[in-house]
Amino acid sequence: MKFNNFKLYGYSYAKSKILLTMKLTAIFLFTFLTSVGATSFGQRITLTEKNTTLEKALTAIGDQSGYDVLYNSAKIKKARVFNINLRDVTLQEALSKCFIDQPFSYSIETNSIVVRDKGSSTISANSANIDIRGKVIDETSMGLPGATVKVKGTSIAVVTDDDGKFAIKNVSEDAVLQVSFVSYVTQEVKLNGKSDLLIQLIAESGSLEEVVVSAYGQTQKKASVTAAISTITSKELKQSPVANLSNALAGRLPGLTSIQASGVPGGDASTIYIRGIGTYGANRSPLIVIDGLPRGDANFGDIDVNEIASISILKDAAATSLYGIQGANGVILVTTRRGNVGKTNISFNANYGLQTPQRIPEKFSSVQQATVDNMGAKNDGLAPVWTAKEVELFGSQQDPYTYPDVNWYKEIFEKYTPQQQYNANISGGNENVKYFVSLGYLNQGTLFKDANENKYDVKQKYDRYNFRSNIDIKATEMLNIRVDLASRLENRTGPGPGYASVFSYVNRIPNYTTPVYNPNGTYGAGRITANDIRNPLGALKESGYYDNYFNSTNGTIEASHRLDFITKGLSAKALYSFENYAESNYAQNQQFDAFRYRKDPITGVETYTSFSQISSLTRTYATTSTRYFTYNVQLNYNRDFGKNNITGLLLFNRNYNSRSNALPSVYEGYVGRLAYNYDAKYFAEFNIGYNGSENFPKGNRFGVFPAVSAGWLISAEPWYNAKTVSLLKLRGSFGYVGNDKFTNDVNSVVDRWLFISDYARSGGFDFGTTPTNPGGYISSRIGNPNITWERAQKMNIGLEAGFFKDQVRLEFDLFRDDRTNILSAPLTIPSYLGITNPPKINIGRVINKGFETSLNFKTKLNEVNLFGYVNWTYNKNKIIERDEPNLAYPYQSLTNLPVGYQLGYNAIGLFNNQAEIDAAPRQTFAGAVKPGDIRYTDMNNDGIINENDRVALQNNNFPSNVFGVSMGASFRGFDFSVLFQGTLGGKTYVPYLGPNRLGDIWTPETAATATYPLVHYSLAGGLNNSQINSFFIYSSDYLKLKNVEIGYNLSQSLLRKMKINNLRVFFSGLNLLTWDKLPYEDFDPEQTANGTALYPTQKIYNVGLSMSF
Amino acid sequence: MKKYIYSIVITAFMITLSVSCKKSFLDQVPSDYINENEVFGNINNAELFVNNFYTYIGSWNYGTGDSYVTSAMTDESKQRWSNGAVLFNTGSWNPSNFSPLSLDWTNAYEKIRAINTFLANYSLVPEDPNDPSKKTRLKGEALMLRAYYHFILYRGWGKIPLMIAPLAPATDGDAVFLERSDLTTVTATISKDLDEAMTLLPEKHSNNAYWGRATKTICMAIKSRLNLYYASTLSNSNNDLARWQNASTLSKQALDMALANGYTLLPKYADVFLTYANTEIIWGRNIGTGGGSGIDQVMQPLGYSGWSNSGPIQDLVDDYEMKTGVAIKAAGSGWDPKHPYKDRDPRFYATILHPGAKWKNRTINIYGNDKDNAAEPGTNYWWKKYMTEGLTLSNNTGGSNKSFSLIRLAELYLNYAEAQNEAIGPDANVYGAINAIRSRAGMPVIPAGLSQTQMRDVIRHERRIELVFEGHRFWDVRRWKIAEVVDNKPVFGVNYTIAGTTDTTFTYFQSQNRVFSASKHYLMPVPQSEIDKLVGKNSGFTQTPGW
Repeated sequence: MKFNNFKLYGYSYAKSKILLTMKLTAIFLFTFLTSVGATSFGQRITLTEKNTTLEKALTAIGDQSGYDVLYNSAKIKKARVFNINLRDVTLQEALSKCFIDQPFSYSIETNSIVVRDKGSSTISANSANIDIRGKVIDETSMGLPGATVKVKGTSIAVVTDDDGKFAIKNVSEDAVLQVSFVSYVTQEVKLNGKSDLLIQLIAESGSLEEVVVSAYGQTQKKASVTAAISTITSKELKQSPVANLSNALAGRLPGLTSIQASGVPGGDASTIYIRGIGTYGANRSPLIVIDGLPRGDANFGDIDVNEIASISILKDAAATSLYGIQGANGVILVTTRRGNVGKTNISFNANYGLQTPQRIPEKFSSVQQATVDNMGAKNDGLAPVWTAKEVELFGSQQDPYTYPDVNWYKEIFEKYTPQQQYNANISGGNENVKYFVSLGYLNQGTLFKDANENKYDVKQKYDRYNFRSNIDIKATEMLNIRVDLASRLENRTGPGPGYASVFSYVNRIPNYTTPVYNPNGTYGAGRITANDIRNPLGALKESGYYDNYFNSTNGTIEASHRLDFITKGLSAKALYSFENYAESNYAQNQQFDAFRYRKDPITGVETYTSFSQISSLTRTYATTSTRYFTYNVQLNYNRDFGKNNITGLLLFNRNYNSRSNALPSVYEGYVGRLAYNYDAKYFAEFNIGYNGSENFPKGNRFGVFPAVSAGWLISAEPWYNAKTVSLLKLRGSFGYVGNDKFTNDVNSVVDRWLFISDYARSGGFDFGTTPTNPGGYISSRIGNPNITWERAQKMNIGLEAGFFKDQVRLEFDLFRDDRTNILSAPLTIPSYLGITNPPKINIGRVINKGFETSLNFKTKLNEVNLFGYVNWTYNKNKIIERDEPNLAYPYQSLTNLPVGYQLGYNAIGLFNNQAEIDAAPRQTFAGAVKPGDIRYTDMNNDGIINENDRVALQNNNFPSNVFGVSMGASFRGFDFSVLFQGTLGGKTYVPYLGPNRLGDIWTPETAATATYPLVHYSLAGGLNNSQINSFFIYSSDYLKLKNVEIGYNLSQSLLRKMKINNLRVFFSGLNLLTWDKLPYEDFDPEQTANGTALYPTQKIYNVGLSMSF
Repeated sequence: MKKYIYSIVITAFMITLSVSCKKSFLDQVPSDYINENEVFGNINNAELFVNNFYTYIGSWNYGTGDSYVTSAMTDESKQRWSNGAVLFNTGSWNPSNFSPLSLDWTNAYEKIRAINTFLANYSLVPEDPNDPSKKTRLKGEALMLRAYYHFILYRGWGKIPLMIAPLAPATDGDAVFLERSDLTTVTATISKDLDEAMTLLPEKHSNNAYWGRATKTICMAIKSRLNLYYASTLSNSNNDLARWQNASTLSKQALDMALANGYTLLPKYADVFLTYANTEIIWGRNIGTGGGSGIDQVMQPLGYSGWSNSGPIQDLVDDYEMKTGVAIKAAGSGWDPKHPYKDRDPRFYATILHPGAKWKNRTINIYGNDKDNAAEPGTNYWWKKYMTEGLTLSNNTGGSNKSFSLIRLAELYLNYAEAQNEAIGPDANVYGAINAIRSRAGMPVIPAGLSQTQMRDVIRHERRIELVFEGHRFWDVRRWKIAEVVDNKPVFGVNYTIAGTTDTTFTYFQSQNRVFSASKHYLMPVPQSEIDKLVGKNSGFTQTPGW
């Protein structure tokens, strides 16, 4: 490859200068991108030529070496002609031969051979020249040897020495340095007269040099990682305009399953699982670790995305065993941003989005509902519920008070509600102090119309303020201090009954039940025979409100000290972190006046029957507060002995969590790690956690959780020469971790100290001629002195590969988790013993197996940068053991099935006629079975269908496959990306009939095609079809266009005038499209609705701006 | 080097600090945990523990063998909602599903265990220096309630495993695998507990605060009922007259003890169900005002903001005699099909709300607000027993506490009449007992000269009318083994059409068809889940015959 007419000489004619800059940028970018990961100086050259020109020879060398050759094609003609005879020599040797007695010199810079005039190295303009020296460091502040430091716009370039240091003489004091290194992001540093420089390079994400954060804030190069860890950086997280960060993770990380079940403002976090569910025990949630520490307030989703550097998930035992007794469900590790050495960077981000429900249940119109009612009544042999006249009135709306047709969704819901998010942050630092300071604000509006027009003048909303300041101080050559302080304030305001209740009223109330208002202006409450559902509008506007404040503050002080004077490579660290958080709930509740209005059809007499009466506002108030602290002391060791590298860690930690409603919970543990690598090719690690939890009886509190792992970077072997597969690494791990929590809620006070028996004051009974309850005592718990933690044995085998100079990267992990000692209630104790709360025992076993894979590519076509990312996770668990009784009907056993099965009837279609019913086993649910009803399998062949014929059915919306596909491109200032995300293997039970399924209902005429059974009106008649059965279990597989982002970076020339470094405007969207297999479009398949609608999850259209100075 | 001494000191200090603490960081004593000594070592706490023994003794409500739901499972009423009772009505109940009665099994044993725990720790309970009888009273209460809960199990299942110690698999191993004891052992064990309780309890509490607690009179009454059941056909297929004689003697003793302690029949029948802790109630409990999901709310028509959950059936309505003491279908009864609710047994008006009845200042109208939801049709009759007319349900005002009677004096008369008639025949004692009930109700005395069989019918009829909705009938028709007749036919509700201004035509619609299988439905099956736990481990434990 060659580049002609390369104006390298810096002739100062202004016109071509800009052109030159652009070309340079493009060339450097290109050479940089195409050479990622290539090992330098390894190429051998063979060249035999007589009377050749320098141009020809260099072209040949460039072709053989893959290096670009940069020269001025006009000037190079002056070179002398020469003979050359090279056989398998190095690049340097070849070049030095070519340049003997030439009026040119050469240098090798970032995979380019640059040809210059001899002696004309720099052209100084009008500014003074200085001598500079400096050091290039990586993210871990280690010196980076071999990095290229180039003075921009000149040919001066040097390479850093073994300590990462460099020195350049006679440089213009306002020059710009370009610092580059393979696998790192190239940095430009303005001298501004400084002569002593510290330059930090950040590794490219995904490269072997990338710094991976692991347990307890340890860092290591990706190349040396032997555990299963996946990471996402804030760049990708920011593409999703979400309020809660947990919702931005879907489809982004292999091994992570996220399920968002609600869209309530300030309460829409996703539930997250790592590698699926591995236990039927109550706690399936991963441990949340923020900046290396398990937290009391583990709600990481409410951290401002701009404060976050990366989120990692630790999946296998090698990654989690340091958290030992808490690590069995995996660990989510959130790392916040810190300052880097460099110029102060001020950035400002603004997002404004419109939320609209992904889906809203469709409702029958009054006429449709009345028709279906009459159809059902007819099927049940009842008189029509509505007369023809009434049905007509529903349609004509002549009497909208007695015969209303109110679409409550339209009445109550806004089409769009705003969500806005702003953040300003400053970061930077020098050798001694590095800082990151951020302030963020988020506001999420409610879906409910009139939410702000209630009679209390209280605006319903969710507000969040985030503050963070992370500071690193180099106190002495050997002492580093880290001081972090973060705070979060949240305010949730909502209607008295709560969002979920109001939504459920809206969802349950049919169109024909009640007018919004009665003729006299009071709230309607429907006809007498209607179900008791509160008027949703009244519930929203006149039932009071709640105001919930949450605030959380945490701070960390860490001192680390090098102890090289004891032995080289040794250092000690001590860390203390506190956290205080509190919540205050203030609510005012009241009843509102609502009347059931009826106008007698014959006499025309109007009656108002009181349904609910206004009551005075009642105030309720509750506060909870939590104080949490953790500290650890540790010794670190890291030293190279020739090609051997040894890393060691010894850590002691404690944490303490005291709450206003329970005794404190405490942990204590010792952690050890020993890692060895030889020549950065062979890696071995041993991790051990020795942790204790007060949940267990004295003497049995501590568990040992060891893990071993190893890795082999095959492509680093000298004999390795595969061209296509540029990177190949194998790794594996085996170990044990535990789970000491027996409830999903980390702050729950239930199921603690299960080894202790307890009595409690509870209940009592009314005695006396004036009834008085003196109270009572119950035996609330029988202790199990043998209680212990759940134990997970985890195995993992991983493969990492890079293809075509690492433009395509593949990671593949195969895992097997074997969870034993699952805490569960014994199911085999006869109930005649009267033990209603038998002590829980550690008995169950679940095996969870699967794989996850990701494929990543980046390339450039002309000026277009392209990237793509695919990840897929599959897991399947199986209950191997459960304390299950000797079932009379073995098909009702839940053992040997995945977690989450439920007993129900196996449907085998619909009865087509009476003859079929007569011939079939008798279905014993109340009400006569009619043609069109669901037919069930008689599992025990006794001729009767009853409870004994229920079989285990999958009825949990928990997918076995989750995947994400993202693609993007950038061209000049434009960038574009999309993310598709989906799941396979989930099921949901939805016995639901909506307007779009009217044609599916069974009638004698549609018998052949019907997909919905006969409708019933009477409860008894409907019982046959309303049993939990496989007929209504649908696949909840879905594919979502989760995320689209289009951005534009304003041109630099324009921005420079405004003193802005970077300004980007972007449009993004969330949950834009959904494809699924449900027979209706009423629910988001991700919401585990099981027939009950939940506050809908939101689609978001967002416009944003980010700028930095 | 000196420069770094400080950091070595700090590091060394922190490491020492972290590993040298004497008391373990994890040694948290949850001081709010309470052990046996704290509960039983304090007599006041021990009393509170005893208080909870009472919670499953039964009531009007939905759940276990309570009167609302058992009434809907027999020929008293029909539950509008399609759960619970419907399973029994359609005969489709089975060992895996016969809720709510299956809960009797677990609930009763739960309480028996608590009682056994108390008795096992009884030695820890100190005397109360201010109330020397307190400690023995607590034991008496425990024993009486153990007997009562065992009776509830016997009533449902006949042969049952008897639990007289707090057994647990962890401590007792295979000793937890019990068999079902035969009926004689069951009744003898229950009687033994009652007898011992009687030595520890007063006949009646003088302290008003103890109303509702166990007494010797209650023990006697339970014994009377137990022996009545034991003498009845279901337990006594050979009609061993000695059992009837025993039942008669015990019933008489119970009746006499009650009368001697001032229990009386209230002059007005309706008051028994509305006046709190009245003198007719031997054992009762508070059921609140009836508002706020209470009995009034559950039972009253929709138009009164009730839920109309349980409708009395036509068969019950028809069983009320004319106020002359003649059955409506009897010749010359004077019953008018056009005015079917006219001139009936006064207890009818105290027990049932019918269309056209005056209630809370208006007439009940089944064409207006009082109509049930079409999806869950009732019978167009509603409970009036226990209902407070002055209570406004929409805002829950105007009510006052009511008590539900588990045992009241009238039952003792009826027990005695029945046992005496079976043991001896219709002698004057039988007439005396029955007429005491009828006279209070405002009904004429029964005619003299009835045969034993005729008297049996009279007594059964009287029991049905007097004790309706009180949780007796469901079990009575079983012990008499007549359920295969009375609970094995369609039940009806009422409708009327208004023709002109005066003339009303009543029509009766079939509300439900009821199925009862004599081969298995008389006794409850042991819940299938219980059988599953015992299969292969406890071969001596068998399912109830027929199931």
